[in-house]
Amino acid sequence: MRTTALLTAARAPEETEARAMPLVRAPLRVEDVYEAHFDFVWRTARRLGVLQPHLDDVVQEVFMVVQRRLNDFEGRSEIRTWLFAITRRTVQSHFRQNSRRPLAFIDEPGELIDPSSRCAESEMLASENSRLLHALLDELDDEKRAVFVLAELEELSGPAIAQALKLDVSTVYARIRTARQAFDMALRRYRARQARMR
Amino acid sequence: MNDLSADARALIAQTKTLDDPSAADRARVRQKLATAWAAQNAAAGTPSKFEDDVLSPGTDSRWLWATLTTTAVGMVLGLWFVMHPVTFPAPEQSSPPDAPNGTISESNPAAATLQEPNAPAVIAHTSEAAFARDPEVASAAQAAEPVRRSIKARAQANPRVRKRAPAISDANALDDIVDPEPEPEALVRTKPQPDFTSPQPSAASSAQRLPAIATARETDSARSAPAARDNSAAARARANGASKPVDADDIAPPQTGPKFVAQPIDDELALLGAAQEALQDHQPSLALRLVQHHGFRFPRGALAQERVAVQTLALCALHRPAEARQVLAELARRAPNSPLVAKLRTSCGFEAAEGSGN
Repeated sequence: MRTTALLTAARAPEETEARAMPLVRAPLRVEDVYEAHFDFVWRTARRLGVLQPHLDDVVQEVFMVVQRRLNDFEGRSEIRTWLFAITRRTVQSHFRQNSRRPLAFIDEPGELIDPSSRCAESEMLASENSRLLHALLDELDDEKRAVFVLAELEELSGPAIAQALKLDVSTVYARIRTARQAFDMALRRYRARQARMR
Repeated sequence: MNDLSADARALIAQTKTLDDPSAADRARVRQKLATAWAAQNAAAGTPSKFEDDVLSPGTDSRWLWATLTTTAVGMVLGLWFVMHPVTFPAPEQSSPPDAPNGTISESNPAAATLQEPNAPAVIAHTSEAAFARDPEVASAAQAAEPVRRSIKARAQANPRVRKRAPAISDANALDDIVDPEPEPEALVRTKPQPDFTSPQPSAASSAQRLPAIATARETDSARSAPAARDNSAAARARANGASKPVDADDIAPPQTGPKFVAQPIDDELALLGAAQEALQDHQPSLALRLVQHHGFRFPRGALAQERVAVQTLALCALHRPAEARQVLAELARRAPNSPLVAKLRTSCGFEAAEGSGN
């Protein structure tokens, strides 16, 4: 399961000029992809709404697809955008098979934090913030969510996002704007509810 | 670009790294992938080439990965899983179909090992310990036990397993679940047994045992059913009564007989065994994938019923009862005599809803 990919992005400009032709082809192996981008796939699946108990299965499925399709990857796009496209499709397939929140008791349990720990307070705050982030992401529709995750959390550029989502760059920027507004509105609503409960 | 408030930006900054996986997450998924890839490679009949260097970044554990995943989890574990009858607690201790094998294996670990010379004992012990520790896994194993038994019985008794099926589309896969000609109980329960009545040389060294085992397996496959039936009684008696372990040389038959030819059933068994492993390892989606792969590769396979059984259990585990019920109904329609139907209904909890009908 080896394929070739064009490795031009990481090369310094002068080096690229010096070796303008031929293009250097290096084998791209699924194990390298796994080691380099496992975190990205995991984070992305989680942020696209996969619950913690299902993350293993979804991420595993993503890399099964990667293994099968690595020959199709020609290196014309950044591999993270390619992986994102696979992850997104896998997550959508996962949601077709399992409702997004199938049963209340399956919902992920809160992190167990040792109250005697010196960092208990900061851990609780981090856990609370993480839950809040995912709750706010849940309020975005799929298109806005994907754009928001890539732009704000993964900090991908507009053209890269356009490549990952197969959209025009202008559409991507417009969608980023609306996604930000929607996220901000959801956060404001949450803060307002919090204030009323106090 | 100022669409986000300061509050939102602060929240994003605080949570940006919180979704990162832990080292345990990475190791766990790596292990699952190794299993899946090994199963895939085993099913495809190609040697596994990922497990040794792909899935373990450290050079220290490469050998371990290569050994455990490539050898054990792939072909060998699949075969061992089917042929090793004492891995899980049998729900029906008095059930006769497995009596000859079960008796031999339970009373004599050496005999169990002899049934599959390639199965590493360490894997067996590890798996058994894991099953013993995890009650959920044990219950899942109990639920899958009828399927495993049926796989083994059919693999040993059904002459169709000797034929490789032509490839057809998956849409016709369920058509293959026609109940074969009613199998006499005696035939189902009969497995060609090694010749225990052959002269018994004295104990041999372990180095001498493996060739003897191989020879035993070669000639076993060529034995006729009546002879096997006769031998099974002797085997049971010997296994029950013998206090000393059965030596490999004890079961080595005379060195005559047709040459052993590898049978395609091994591929089916390996694939379906891997699916069952996945099911018991709480990976029903993987099990479902493997079952679908089995359907593609062996649309008219000898283990079609068992494939549907594993598929039903996987669908139940995935909380897809409607599909499970549909598949089970199709199985019941095409194989009304199959004992799997009732057991699957019980396992999936359909019994109360469906009553006594199909």
